[in-house]
Amino acid sequence: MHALDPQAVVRAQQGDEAERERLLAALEPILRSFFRSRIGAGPDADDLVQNTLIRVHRGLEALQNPARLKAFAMKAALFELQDFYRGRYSARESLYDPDRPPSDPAGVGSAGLRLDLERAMSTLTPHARRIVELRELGFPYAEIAETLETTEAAVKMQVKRAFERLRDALVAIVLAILATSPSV
Amino acid sequence: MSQSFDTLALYDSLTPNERVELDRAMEENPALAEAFSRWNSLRAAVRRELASDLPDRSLLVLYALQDDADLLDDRERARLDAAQNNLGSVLERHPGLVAAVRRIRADREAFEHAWSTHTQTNGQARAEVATQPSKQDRPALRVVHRRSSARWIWRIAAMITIVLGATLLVHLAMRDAGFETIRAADLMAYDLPDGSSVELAAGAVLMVPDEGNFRQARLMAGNALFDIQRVETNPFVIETPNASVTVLGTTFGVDVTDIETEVVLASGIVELASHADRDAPVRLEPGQRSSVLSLDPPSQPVSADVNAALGWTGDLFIRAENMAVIAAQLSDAFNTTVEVAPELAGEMVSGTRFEREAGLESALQELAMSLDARVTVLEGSGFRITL
Repeated sequence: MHALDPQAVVRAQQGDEAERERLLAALEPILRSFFRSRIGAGPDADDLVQNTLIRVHRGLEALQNPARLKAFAMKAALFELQDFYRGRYSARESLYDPDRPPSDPAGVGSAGLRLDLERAMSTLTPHARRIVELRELGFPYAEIAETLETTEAAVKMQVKRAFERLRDALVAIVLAILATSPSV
Repeated sequence: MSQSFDTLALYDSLTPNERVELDRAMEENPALAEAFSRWNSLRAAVRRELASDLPDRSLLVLYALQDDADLLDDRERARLDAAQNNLGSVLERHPGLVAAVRRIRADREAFEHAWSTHTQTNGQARAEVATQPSKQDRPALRVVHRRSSARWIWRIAAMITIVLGATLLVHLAMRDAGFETIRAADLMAYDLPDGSSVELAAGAVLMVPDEGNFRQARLMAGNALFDIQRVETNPFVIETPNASVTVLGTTFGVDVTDIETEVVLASGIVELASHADRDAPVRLEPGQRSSVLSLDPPSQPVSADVNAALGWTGDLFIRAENMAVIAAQLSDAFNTTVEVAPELAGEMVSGTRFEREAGLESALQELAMSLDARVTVLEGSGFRITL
């Protein structure tokens, strides 16, 4: 009997520790293969595998239909993946404040930065807005490109164009300074 | 300056060295720093709004899976039903979330694939799975299959033709310790140890370090197209038997035959020096070529036909141009009409590299995507990019 068969799942749910170990061991390569295919091999994928296994371990008793283990494990993996994307910026924000440059070189980080988000975003095309939002949802450019069936470079070009449009909309004064500043 | 502004938008995907450079530029230029602050403020505001509109991302997963009756349990379906109205309006407001739903559905397919692959009862199938390397585990050496769509580059492209004598080869062979030799029997790709990559034409011989400084390689024979990871403070150096090519950017090609090294640069910057005088390099601008014959100094850079020099790659290289010029170049390359709407004619597009095999329409779709435009088919024959 395979470790993922419903009878095996029932035994694991009923406290058979060996069966539970077998089940988790059988899930591990599936999850590893899945996460690697989505975010690549590396520590992040390893962490996601472990977190998903913990989620399955903790929630196994609540699984009402043992025949739906696949759906159960899939949702656990998808939830973990979304948590991972969401956490991308949490981790980064601990390194630097996204509201200002890392060193706030000009000391302007807190000045005049209240934005009319809707007005600013309305200057973007739906496609550009989609990319900006996907980025802020935590997706890397390569995955955004894959999702939108284009190339990473095309996505980055869109981001640059969005930046240009928003810059024009928000800080017209910068353009005047730009024209007189030396090249860097 | 405008390049710095361009780079600001992609700050969080830059290398540490690129960030340091940009940080320095911001210290020197308050306008740059302020633009960056405002951009980040806007990004943070987008994040706050997304988090406010959809505090629980797991709902997005349930939403993406709801079409399959077997995937959600009763409790999850009830959660989704309760949130359905609000979720509908949130998705309407945020095209990014709609795309994220699409991504989750693709994730689901990937999971299904992983599951079915690993739970097959067929032993042979399982064995195949076990020995099939993942994308990341793949060996560095692989045969190149043409990419399915046009590829865009904002990096350095150069073409280097190298010709060398037997005595020089003997001399170099004495210095081969610590280098691995790759001999290309067919067109293939090779991942360099520093994360860069190179495409090798049949007959190319490349030596790469297996220890020590990974920002170097030796091209001993044949054609190659390098795609070099950019590290501002650590240029990549390609040694040929009679010359050195210092890469100050990222993508470039190499061709080796007998006693001459020729560099043709598509975009970006490279420096070429003879081994006889490494301190006297010439710097090439995009679209130029230079060569080193034996141990003579490099020739003065002159204009080059980049596409002719890089034709062996099967790709079409176009330097940063406005759309009107690019349309004309594509029209010539594919021998058909390519028109651009007047309002798009002046739009600048960064250095591009199109795969000829993918065809003109694929290239045009890529261009249109980057411009928020669309491609229409002209009556008779030809295409038009229009808003």
